[in-house]
Amino acid sequence: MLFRFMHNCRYYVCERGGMKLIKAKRFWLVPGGFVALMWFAASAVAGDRSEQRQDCANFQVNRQALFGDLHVHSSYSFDSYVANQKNTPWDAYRYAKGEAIMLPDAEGEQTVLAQLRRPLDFTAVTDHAEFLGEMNICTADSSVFGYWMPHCIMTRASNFYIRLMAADYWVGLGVAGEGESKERSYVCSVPGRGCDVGGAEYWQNIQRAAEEHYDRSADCSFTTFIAYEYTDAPNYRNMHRNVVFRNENVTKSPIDTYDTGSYQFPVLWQHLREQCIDGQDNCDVLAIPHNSNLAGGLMFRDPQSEAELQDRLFFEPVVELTQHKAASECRYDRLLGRGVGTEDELCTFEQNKTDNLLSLGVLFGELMAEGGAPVSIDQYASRNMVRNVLKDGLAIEQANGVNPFVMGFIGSTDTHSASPGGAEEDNFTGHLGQRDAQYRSVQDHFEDNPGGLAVVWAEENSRDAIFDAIRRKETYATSGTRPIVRFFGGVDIAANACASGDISSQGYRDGVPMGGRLPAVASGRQPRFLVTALKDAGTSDKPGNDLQRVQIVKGWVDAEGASHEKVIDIAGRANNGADVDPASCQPRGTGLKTVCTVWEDSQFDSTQRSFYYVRVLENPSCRWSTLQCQAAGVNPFAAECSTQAEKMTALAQENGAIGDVYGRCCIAPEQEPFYERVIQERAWTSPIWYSPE
Amino acid sequence: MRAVKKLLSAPWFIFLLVGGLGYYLYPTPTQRPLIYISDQQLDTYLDSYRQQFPRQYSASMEQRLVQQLIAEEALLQQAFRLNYENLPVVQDRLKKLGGFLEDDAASEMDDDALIDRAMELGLLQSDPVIRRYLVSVMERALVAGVPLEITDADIEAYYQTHQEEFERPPRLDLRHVFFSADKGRTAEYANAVREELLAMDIEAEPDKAYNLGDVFYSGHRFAGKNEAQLAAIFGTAFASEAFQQGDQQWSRAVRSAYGWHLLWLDQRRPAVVPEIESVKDKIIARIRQDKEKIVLEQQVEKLKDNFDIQVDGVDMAEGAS
Repeated sequence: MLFRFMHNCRYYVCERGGMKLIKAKRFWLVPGGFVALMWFAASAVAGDRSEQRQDCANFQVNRQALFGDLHVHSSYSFDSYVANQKNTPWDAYRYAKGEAIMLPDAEGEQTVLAQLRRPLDFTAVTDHAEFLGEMNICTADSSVFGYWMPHCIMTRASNFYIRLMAADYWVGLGVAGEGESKERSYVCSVPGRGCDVGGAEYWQNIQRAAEEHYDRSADCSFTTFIAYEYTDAPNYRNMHRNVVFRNENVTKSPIDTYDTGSYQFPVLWQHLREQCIDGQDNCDVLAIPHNSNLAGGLMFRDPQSEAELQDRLFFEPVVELTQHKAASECRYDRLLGRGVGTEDELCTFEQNKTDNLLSLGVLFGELMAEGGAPVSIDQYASRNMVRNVLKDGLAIEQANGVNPFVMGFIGSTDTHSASPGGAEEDNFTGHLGQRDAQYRSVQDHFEDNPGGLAVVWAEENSRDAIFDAIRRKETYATSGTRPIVRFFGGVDIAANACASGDISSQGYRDGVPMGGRLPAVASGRQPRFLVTALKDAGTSDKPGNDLQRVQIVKGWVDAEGASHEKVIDIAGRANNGADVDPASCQPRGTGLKTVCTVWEDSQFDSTQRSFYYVRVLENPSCRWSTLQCQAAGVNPFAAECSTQAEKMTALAQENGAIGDVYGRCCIAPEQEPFYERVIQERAWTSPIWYSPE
Repeated sequence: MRAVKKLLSAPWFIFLLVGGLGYYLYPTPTQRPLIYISDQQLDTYLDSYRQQFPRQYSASMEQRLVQQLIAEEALLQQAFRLNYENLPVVQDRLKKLGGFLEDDAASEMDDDALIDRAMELGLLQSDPVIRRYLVSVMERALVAGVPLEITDADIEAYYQTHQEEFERPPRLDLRHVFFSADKGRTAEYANAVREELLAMDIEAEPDKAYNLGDVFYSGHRFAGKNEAQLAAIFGTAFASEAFQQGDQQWSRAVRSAYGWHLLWLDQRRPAVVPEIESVKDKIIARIRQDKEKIVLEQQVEKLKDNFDIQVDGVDMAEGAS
């Protein structure tokens, strides 16, 4: 009954209007003799409630893994609507909770049924802040004049190509421009409803949808967050951030690039501080950068001022490590036999060949924009990959005293099809509406993938508990599957910790969890790292894949300021014999179902700054594209793949497709720098940092 | 009396009497307004839908679209009868349309002249923006004209008939002893251990019970979990089986993705339908939406009764509803 006891003792509780308002007053009644118990309580307890809600029946003092998606677009986003995607924020939340929604097919008709196998625990709809008002005018109400303006009509056109032209217009206008001030669409100045009014209506709707789907009952079945995406991409170099609010106290309107100008994400933080943190009672907010892989090196610059340094550390506790437009952990080119600051051969996983958003501009299988061409390893910016950013952070700390890049990890989908959590390789219905529906996914978005999930270790499924987990970086990213991974580090962790019946209590008591910082270690001592991993349990019709191995990724900086990295297998083995059946894609062989291991860093140097994170690899499974190619009658493993592709392309063309549809199915991985027919799904925990001070 | 007889037999009197009766019995029909939908207008309307939703298009859908177009025309004409064209939004639009040609004449025209010009071009009736705007304003006016009363009885009735939509699922407080597949444990092995457990007091010695099996890294005790939440940890088959076990007794071996488990259900919390007060706002919003829809349909039907309706190519005696 320990956790129930802790739960009851946690807060000062007062009744108000039938709901319990929990105030900031810890209830320290633990008998003084139980020092360890008190420590345990202090470390494991959630933050104070900032909202009115019922207590959760499933509260767990040692926290539970909750799976979610913090990057989701609905029809309120211009690039979702132009893809004939008509589902609203309400629909996105319905999908996250396991209900079915309809999506456009390759012809644009709403005929594709999309449904998750397993519901999510939490979701944030993050529509683009830019053009919220314009989309309201262009699509919501035909009785306003702006609705009938040419680019609005184009945005709603039934013709796919006209809508793509509209997309070009919107992107060029307010997303990809480089100017300090951005041009407003003429749609905003047409008599009738202005973009401020339209934007306010959609911002209100986003809040309403989040409120209506948030379970404030004791069941705590689903949590929503009010959020949006700040969309700065000068010259298509992605510096986007998802802005997520703790509770219903939010800024009057989303802060967008019209407020800040280009290249000015620090100004976003300033506005968030002024309008939320300092400007309102009980307002809290964070920003999550994503797709540094497409940022042209601009996402993580050295702080230009003390304020920028502090704001980055405060507002950006986690980074989105993987999503639909590829992963950003690390990059290795197997053709060249080297990577971007790494020799880790597992860094070929879900890479995009280029380094900017023009890679999305593929139509009929052809890249339409020159700027989206592949970028060589030598020209690829090191800080596009988060592992390099973490290493640079250590070096900066050594030089300047403060590490500006202390970020945990989450994954998400970045779906533009209102399908949060739609990251299942064999149930992938696309994330770009009509643009990657059905055959178009293989034809035009072969380098994309279903995206990942955000996992938090929280006491309960409530906004405060999840938000606090993100703030303390007790989070991890997955490539879409749902393994349950814990990671603790500390010099006091017992070598035989896995024999204990209560591993998590031991982890919190003797160490720090993922996202934490190790205290200074005396010379001669070495930290131990406790890792547990449970394979994805799966569902009756789709059992989860076994685990192949667990790795520790260590980064450190030496006395000369040079950074290093090392990847160590700490459980399982690479050659465990598991693979897939090339005819059916069914996994073959077995791996580990559960893992518990304690690893000691025998090469630890207490004078060196370092970080450690865990990467859990599943047994091989077929990539989404392999599954979709096979379903279309083209087997990427078959010797006659090209013949099959030609035949099926001809058939698709008879039905209206243009260009080579299935040719990519037959790409030979050995001739490609990154592509794999068979992948290893994975999880990445937030790091644990160490510095001598 | 004779004078009366004379009067009654007078031809002029009979003429007036018959005429008067006829007027009384057969009143002159008043001129009813006409809704006329031409071939071209109908085709354009149907084509627009067909292009947008080709697969949904069918004969029955076509009938519904005809009725929808008639309803829109009725709403539009009613809006004109109420002089809604004087609304600022419509006047602004007409002004913009009047100046659309941007010829020399337009540049010299004042606002009224631009509006007159647009009216002369028939744009008040044909401009899709003005049409849609007036139809939606008229719809709102019709609904607003009928007071919507939502009583406590309405709310109670809705609550009673839609309880399952608000229901919160049953939950379990559960403990388990785990037998790892990685260690080669089998169901037989687990069931053999169960015999030992039957002789133990789980409340008094929980750790001793857990230690008869292997360590489960997510813990041995779970509180307040519904089926979906259990499935997220152990898998769907396990979660389903867990809910079928008896309370306060050791189950036989139950399989999960990780191996085998012996389950002990501390407490089974039944599904809960929340109190009406906690869902009252949601119910009111839903009832209001439903009622407004019905009121609008009724009001539009009433409105249509005031018109003669003629649709080219459609026999309204058969096709109308």
